[in-house]
Amino acid sequence: MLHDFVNWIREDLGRFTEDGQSWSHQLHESLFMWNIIEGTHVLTIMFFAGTIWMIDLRMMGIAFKNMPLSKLSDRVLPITIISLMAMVVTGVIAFVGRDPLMYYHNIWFRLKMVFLVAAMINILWFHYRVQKSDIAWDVIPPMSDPLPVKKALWLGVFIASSFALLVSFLIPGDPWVMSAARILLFVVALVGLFVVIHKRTPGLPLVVKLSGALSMLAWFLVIIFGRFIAYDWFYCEKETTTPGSLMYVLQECDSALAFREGDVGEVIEEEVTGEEAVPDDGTGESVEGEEAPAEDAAPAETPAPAQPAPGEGN
Amino acid sequence: MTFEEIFKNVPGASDFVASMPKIWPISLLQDIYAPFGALHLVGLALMGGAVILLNLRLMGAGLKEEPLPQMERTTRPWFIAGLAIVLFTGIIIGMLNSEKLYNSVPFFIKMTSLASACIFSFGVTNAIAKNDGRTSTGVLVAAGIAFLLWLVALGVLGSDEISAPGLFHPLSAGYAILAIFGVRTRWFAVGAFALLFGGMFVMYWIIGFNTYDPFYDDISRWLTVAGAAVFAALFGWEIYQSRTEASTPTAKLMAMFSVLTWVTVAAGGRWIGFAS
Repeated sequence: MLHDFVNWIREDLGRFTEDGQSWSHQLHESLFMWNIIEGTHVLTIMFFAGTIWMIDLRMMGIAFKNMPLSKLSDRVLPITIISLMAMVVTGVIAFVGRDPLMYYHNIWFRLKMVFLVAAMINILWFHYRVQKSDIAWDVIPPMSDPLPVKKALWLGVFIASSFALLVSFLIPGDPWVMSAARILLFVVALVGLFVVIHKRTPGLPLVVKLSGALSMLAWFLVIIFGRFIAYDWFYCEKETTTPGSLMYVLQECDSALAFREGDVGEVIEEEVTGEEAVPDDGTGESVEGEEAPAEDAAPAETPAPAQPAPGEGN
Repeated sequence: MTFEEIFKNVPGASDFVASMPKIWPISLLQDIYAPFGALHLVGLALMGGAVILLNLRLMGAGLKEEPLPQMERTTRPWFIAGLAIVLFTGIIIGMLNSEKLYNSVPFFIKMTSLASACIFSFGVTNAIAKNDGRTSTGVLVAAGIAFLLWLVALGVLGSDEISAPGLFHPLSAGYAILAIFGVRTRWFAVGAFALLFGGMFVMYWIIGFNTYDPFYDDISRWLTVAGAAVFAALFGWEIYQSRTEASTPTAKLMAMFSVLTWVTVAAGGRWIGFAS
C-alpha cells in the first residue's frame, strides 16, 4: 500500500543532488547518531510507560488509592506527554534512519503500530467519554472487601493459566497450534487478573478500570512487539515465509520481494545483516552475512559504524 | 574494562562462563530467548516509573502533596516488581549470552551502574523518603559508595570509543529532570540542551550524518563535556537557590543521582547491542 512512499523516504528524502544520499542512507551509515536516537527511543520507555502505567494502576484502583485521579493526572501527565513526544520524534527518526522498508514489511512493526493506535484511541475514549463522569469516582470510595471465595477463584484462574502459559514454552508442537494456545492462555490469564482487580474495587466504575487495563495492555504490547522487530523470524526473504502464507500476506511480501529483485532504488544488503540479525544465541536462524560490514561502511582507518544486535541490546 | 579482564587470572572463570548456556534449566530456554528480552524492557518501564515519581517527589516536584513516607510505601511494590522482572529476565538473558557479555564493555558499565543504582534506591533515596527527607550518616556513606561506583561506570563509558556516545543518555535524562523540577532553571536547561545537542544534530544534518571526520567527532566530544558542565552548574544553582525549601539540597542531589544511575544502567544495556 505505502511501499512506494516508504521507498521514497529511504531513497530520496533529503537527497538534494543526483550524487547525494538520502537522510535514511546517511543515518544508516552514521557512526553513532542513529544509535543515540534509537537508544533514546528505548530509554524514554522509563519515563513514558513508567508514568502512564502508574496512572493506569490508579485507574484500576491498585496504586495511589488515596489520591484523586485528577490530581495524579495533573502532576504526572505532563511528564508522560513530553516523554511521548520524545518517543514519537526519536521513533520517526529511527524509522527513517535504519531501513524504512524493512520496518514497513515487518509484522512486528505493523503490530506495534496497530497497538499504538489502539492505545491512542483508548486515551481519546477515556478523555472525551469516560472522564466526563469523574466527579463520581475521582476519589475511590471506601468499600468493604468483596466475597473472598469468588476472588480466590479468579485468582486461581490467573495463576493456573499463567503457569500453563510458561510451561507451554517448554512443550514442543506445531508452531501455529502452540501460538494459538499461548494467545488463548494469555487472554484467559488477563481476564482472570482483571476480574480479581475488578472485584477488589467495586466502588470504581468498570469502564474506568477497563480503560486503565486496556491502556496498560496496549503499551505492554507496543513494547513487546517493538522488541521483536529485531528478530528475523518472518522476514520476507526467509524460506519459511512462503508465498501465500499468513505472514507473507500480512507483511505485503509481494512488493518487498519485487522491489529487491527489480532495479528500483539501491538494494541495501545489510537489511538482513547486522543489527536486525539474530544473535548467536540459538533462538533462530542466523541470517547469512550477519557479521559482514555494510557495503558502504566507513574507511578502514575509522571504526566501522556500530551495528546494534538484538538480544544484546538490554 | 570488561569482566574478562578482571577475572582473567582466576582459574576456570572463562570455562565457567562459557558453560553457562548449557546449565539446566537455562539450557531449556535457548529457543524462547526473545520474550525474556522483551519482558526485560517491561520490567525496566515499571521500575522506571516508580523510581522517577519517588525521586521527583524527593526533589519537591511531581506529587508534592503526597507525604514522603507515603510516597515511598506506594511506589515500593512497583519498584520491587519491576526490579524483580528485570533481574529474573536479565539473569536468563545474561546466562544465554554469557561469553559475549563477559567480554563486553557496556555490560561491565551496566553491572557497575546496577550496583550503584540498587544502593541508591534501597540504601539512600528510599531511606531518605521513609525518614521524611532527613538523612543519616549511614545514608551518606551508602551514597558515597554508590556515587563512586557510578563514577567508575561513567569513566569506563566515557573512555570506550564505541560506547562513549552513550553518555548522551544520562546527560539528557539529567536535563529532562531539571526541566521538570527546576523552577528557576527550567528554561535555561531546555535552552542549553537545544543549543548544545540540537546544535550537534543540526551540524551532522548539514555535513551529512555519515561523515567520518575526527574534527567533528572532537566537536561532538566537547559539546558533550560542555553539556555536562552546564548541567552541573544549572543543577547546583537550582538546589542552592532552593536550599530553604522543605526538600533539602542533599535529598535533591541523591534523588538526581538515583535517576541518573538507573538511566546509566539502561544505557549500558542498550549499548551492549550497539558495541557488539
